[in-house]
Amino acid sequence: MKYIYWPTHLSHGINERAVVVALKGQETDWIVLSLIPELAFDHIAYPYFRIGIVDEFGNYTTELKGDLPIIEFRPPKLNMMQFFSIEPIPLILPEKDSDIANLNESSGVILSTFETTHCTAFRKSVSLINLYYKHEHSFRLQYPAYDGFAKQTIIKAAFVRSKEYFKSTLMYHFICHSIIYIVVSIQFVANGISGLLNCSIIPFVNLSATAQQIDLRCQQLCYFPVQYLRISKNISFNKMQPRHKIKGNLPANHKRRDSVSKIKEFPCEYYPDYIRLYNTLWLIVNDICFGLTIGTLLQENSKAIGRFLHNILEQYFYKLLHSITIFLGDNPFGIKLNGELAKFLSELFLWIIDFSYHTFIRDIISQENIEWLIKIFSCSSCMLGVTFTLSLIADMLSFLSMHISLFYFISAKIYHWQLHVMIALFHLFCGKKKNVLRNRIDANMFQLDQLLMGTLFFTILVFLFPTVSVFYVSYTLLWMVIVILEVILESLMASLNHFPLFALLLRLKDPSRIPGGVSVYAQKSPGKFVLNNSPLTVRRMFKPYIVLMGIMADTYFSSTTVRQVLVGKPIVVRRNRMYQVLYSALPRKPISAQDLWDTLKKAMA
Amino acid sequence: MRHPWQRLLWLKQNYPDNYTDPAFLRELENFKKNQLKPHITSSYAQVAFDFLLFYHRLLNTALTYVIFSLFYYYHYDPFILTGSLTTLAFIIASCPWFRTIEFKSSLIIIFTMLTLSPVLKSLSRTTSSDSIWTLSCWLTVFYLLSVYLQESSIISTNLLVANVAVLSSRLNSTTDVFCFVLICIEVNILLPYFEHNLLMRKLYVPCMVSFLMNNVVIYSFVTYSMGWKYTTLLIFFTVIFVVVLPRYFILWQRWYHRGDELLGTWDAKKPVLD
Repeated sequence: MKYIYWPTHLSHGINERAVVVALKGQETDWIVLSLIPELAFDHIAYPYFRIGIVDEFGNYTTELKGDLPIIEFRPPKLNMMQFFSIEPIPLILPEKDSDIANLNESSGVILSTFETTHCTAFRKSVSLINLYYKHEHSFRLQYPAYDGFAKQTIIKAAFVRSKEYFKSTLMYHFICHSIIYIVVSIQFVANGISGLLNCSIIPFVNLSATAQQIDLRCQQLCYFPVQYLRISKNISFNKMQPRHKIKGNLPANHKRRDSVSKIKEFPCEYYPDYIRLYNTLWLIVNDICFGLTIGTLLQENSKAIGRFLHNILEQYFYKLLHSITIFLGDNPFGIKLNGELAKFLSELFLWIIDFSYHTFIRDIISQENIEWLIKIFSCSSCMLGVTFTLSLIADMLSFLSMHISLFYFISAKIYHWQLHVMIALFHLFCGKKKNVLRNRIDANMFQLDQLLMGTLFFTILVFLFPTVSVFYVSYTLLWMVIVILEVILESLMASLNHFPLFALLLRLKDPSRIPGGVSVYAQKSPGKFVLNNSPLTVRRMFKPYIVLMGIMADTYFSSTTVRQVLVGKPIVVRRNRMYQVLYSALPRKPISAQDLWDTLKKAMA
Repeated sequence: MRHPWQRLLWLKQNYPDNYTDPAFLRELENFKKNQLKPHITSSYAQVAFDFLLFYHRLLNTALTYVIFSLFYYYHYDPFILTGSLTTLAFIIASCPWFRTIEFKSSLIIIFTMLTLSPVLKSLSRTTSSDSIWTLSCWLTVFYLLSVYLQESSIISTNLLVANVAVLSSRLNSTTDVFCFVLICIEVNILLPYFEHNLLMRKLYVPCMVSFLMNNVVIYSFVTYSMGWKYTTLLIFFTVIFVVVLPRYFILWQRWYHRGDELLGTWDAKKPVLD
């Protein structure tokens, strides 16, 4: 089934009989290029076809076999970066898409690959439609008799000539070279820092939010030149670094050397890159703007905030902990715990509290030091953006709450160990034993001494269990409070770092610039349809966020977590695994300085 | 010629769904006839002997409480009792015919108990005595049930040790705890084992001696602590348990017992898992 694609601007303002001239590729449909007055029409050659006649009332009479349906469309303006796309354009890098899809298990990916294999004709037609104005332009150049204007080419030629002249001057070369040197050295340093933070011996990125933030900025710095080269239509670069899996996401017109497309490269391939680059740049500027505001606020109110924080931190990190630990050691809520063990544990934890308080917490949370820290925060906020300050605060919080996490890990370890031993001894109590080879519980004959010792230990552990679990539960709750605070801080950081702001604004300004697919509607008259561009859905823009929220809910609020807490296995947050979703606009491995240098050199030449 | 009908649901057989096998009707007839006749029963002596053995086990268990109250209420000096019983146990154990446990493992047991007795002593200090008595009572009930039901002695031994550990956590000193646990193990684990061995060898005299000793200790303790009335009551119940109950059992078996399987092959089958 073939269709005729008819641009909307050719359907009005007809006042004489005209010949309809259409373009057709090897497998594509007809795309109407121009209406030529019947009297002026002489002949046209392949790939242009005469497909029918329009009378002065705008009624179309076909000269093709069969009555083909007409689909009207508004040609996308390439210089405005509008285009049609069958699949939603990716706001994340295509090679990272599979990661997120794996995490999310979305079925949409499969569906779209199914479509790609079956709708080649439609796909090729859409590619032609995207280049509509270029094709029309080349048609006019080829048959200037039908249309007598070539004015702007003169201006354009003059512009090109002056550009070439400027390129040959010494000044230009000097500026270019110095820019290349600066870019490559910045990239080299950023790459080095990122590599150091990610090194396998001590993965700082895993340990501290600040390191992660620095790493993110470094990776963004490394990627900027690559993105810039890509969007400035540097074809040599694109050939050198073929992007993976691109065919599933964009009409890959530029790979086909069709006789139709003598026109240059297909530019809308790099529009997602454009969106990504400016999104990142905008977010950084935004970040610094926020940073300036918050930094000023902090600076102005440093005294009051300092006093407030001092009281709060002293209350929470010392006094509250101290009283809770003493309370637990002394028959809490009237629950009769084992006195000796409770006293021992309580004194152990009290000792750790006192030790950590006197060694570092007291000094850090003293009034002057807090004010000094606030000053540092406000300075860093003004210079490096609010996310950097947030990451510093998160790190500070985890450093100050080190003793709480220590308590949590100690009590979790004791609890887990005790539970494990109790389960094993309970099996012994029932005359059973775990068979590791077959991973099941087998009946076993035990010696008398084994039975006696096992049962004695079992009885003792059962009696001690409430004491240990009370300590475990209370320290887990305390630790959870800290973890939730940190999660809030880090989500805030994530939203500031990866918010799809540019894409959202583009959607408001010009939805055709971020196509999320096409839709075809039937018109009133039979056999007539309209091809529309449906913009990217907001849900799709926030897909990495949705995935991240899913992972977070899975890490902190799922049944597996509850089970882990019950069993006493410590919940470890693998920060880089969790936030790698948000790195989706960055390549896995930054480009090496050597490659960048070669590329820039080539681009210069 | 049709295949004979088989009682297997998963076979596709050439019989109607409501088919009744003639063999079933025949067996049902026989069964009804047999129901009216008295059944063959066990011998009275054998049943009475089994009851006696269980009664003996009950007394052994009661000994735990006797010893506990001796230490807990009467502040009895544990050394003499423990020393004499342990020496006896060692003499018996070193006898080559009755090698119950090895020397090494007995040492391990003793040293474990020595190490754990301070821990045991402070284990339930903050728990109220009532809950300990309740717990101990339930453990004893489960112990007796497991003795009655189970072939292997593992669970009963474990329940006993748990009971002893729970009780010992009430005692006043570490020595008491150690001696109590040791005596209980000797009386409740080694002694039954030893007696079992003797019975297997058909040496009835030492068994009788230990049985009589057991009775003497329990009755004298009950008389001493609670008075004659309770002793009389206890003797009355004992006689009922040892003499009357076996008779009643035989009667039941003769007239009312239906056996494990009613119709043999026609009973509902229980799936055998694992």
